[in-house]
Amino acid sequence: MNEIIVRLLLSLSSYSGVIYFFVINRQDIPYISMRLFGVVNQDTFWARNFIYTVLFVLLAYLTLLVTKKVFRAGDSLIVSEVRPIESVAVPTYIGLFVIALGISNSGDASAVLVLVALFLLWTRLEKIFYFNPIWLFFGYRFYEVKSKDGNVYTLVTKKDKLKGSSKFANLRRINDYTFLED
Amino acid sequence: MFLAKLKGKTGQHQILMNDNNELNSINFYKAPNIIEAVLYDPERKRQQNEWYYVELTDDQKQEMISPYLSKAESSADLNRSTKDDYQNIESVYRILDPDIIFTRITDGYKIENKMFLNFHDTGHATLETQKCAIAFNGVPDAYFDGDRRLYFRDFSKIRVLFDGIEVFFREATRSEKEAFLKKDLFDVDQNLTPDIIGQRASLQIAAILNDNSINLDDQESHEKIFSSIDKYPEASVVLSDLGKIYIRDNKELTRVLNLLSSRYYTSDITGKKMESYGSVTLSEESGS
Repeated sequence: MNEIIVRLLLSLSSYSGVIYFFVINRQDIPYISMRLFGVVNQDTFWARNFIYTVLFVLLAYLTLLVTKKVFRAGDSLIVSEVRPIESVAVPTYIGLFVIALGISNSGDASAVLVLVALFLLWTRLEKIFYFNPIWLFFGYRFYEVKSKDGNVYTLVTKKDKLKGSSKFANLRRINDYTFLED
Repeated sequence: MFLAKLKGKTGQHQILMNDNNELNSINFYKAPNIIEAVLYDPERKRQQNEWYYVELTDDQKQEMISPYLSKAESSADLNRSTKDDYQNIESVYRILDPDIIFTRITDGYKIENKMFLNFHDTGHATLETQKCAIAFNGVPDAYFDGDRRLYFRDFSKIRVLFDGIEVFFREATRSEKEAFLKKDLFDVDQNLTPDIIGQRASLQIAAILNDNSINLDDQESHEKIFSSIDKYPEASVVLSDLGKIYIRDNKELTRVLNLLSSRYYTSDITGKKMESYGSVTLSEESGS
């Protein structure tokens, strides 16, 4: 059960960039006060968006911590081919951010529904690699790797410029196709 | 790493446990303490505390052991066992590189929808339903020592685990039995055909044909065999009028095979003539 919850959190954290771009472009979210329940003045644009940014980054960080707590290390992998995944994931993200910016100007509740629908779609896609752009700032790289048996996985690791065949040990298995190395 | 293999020659290997915390819970599942070990002989009955062993060549290791060892190198290529797989588990094994411990899991070990009465230090007993479990006692059925030896207790139990292990339990083929009976050394009754030769005799025929020290076509070997017949008339091996070994039925065939396998011998200590039910060639290591 813990693993299911953390995977959902990973999807949410990965998707949170879309929410972030949605909220920073709006003056208000339907049914939710942008005054943050009286904590911040509605007119203080920079303070409000600074807090959103911190929350966005904090969510990514906490998700990483929780992931390491729940998913134990123990898997090994012999890699024969490597490909950085950013070239595939980033355009997808940019597309979603543009959608978020576009619908954030919409004044009705359908904007929220679109966000929710996109999230549900995202959880289906993110089952594959849980790409999170904030993790790049934490030093992680995302690779698509092929094992010696020909299976393709997503590998999240701090190793930069990974090339050629390599052997990995003590990987954390997020799902059967995504592995995290500390 | 603690893994399972599903049924079938190409049965999947799956992960049961692979992180250190989980593996600590099965520390009791370890290499057996083998005090007595004998080279496997299908004819020889194992003593209570003995283990059989076979010595594997490089090719046999590649065929029988590598499929297991290689799983530890890239466990990411393996899925975790789930309750959907549990009914198909054929064996579990633990890799303590380079050693491997194996336990065969038969249907008798599998517990499905059974109710258990649990007892506690205090309070009343409670009823618990076990939906999907394997009764695991941690007793190894086979053990690979990381070098060349594969140890086991019951060949029939572990033969399904290792591709190619039948070579150590080889019965003669029909054509081999036919060729054996047609040797010039024998005068075989026409009613004795390869099809009615039993498993025990088939094993002995295979062993004799594979033994390079026994040449049934060689005149020198024939002389030694006839000499042995003279020495052990109690074995009741008969010669025909043509001077060949006469074999009329399975009983006589058994006596002839025992003679060729050197099962009849004279004790150096008592001087008595004896018959053994299995024997192993002594080597320099046998005494260690």
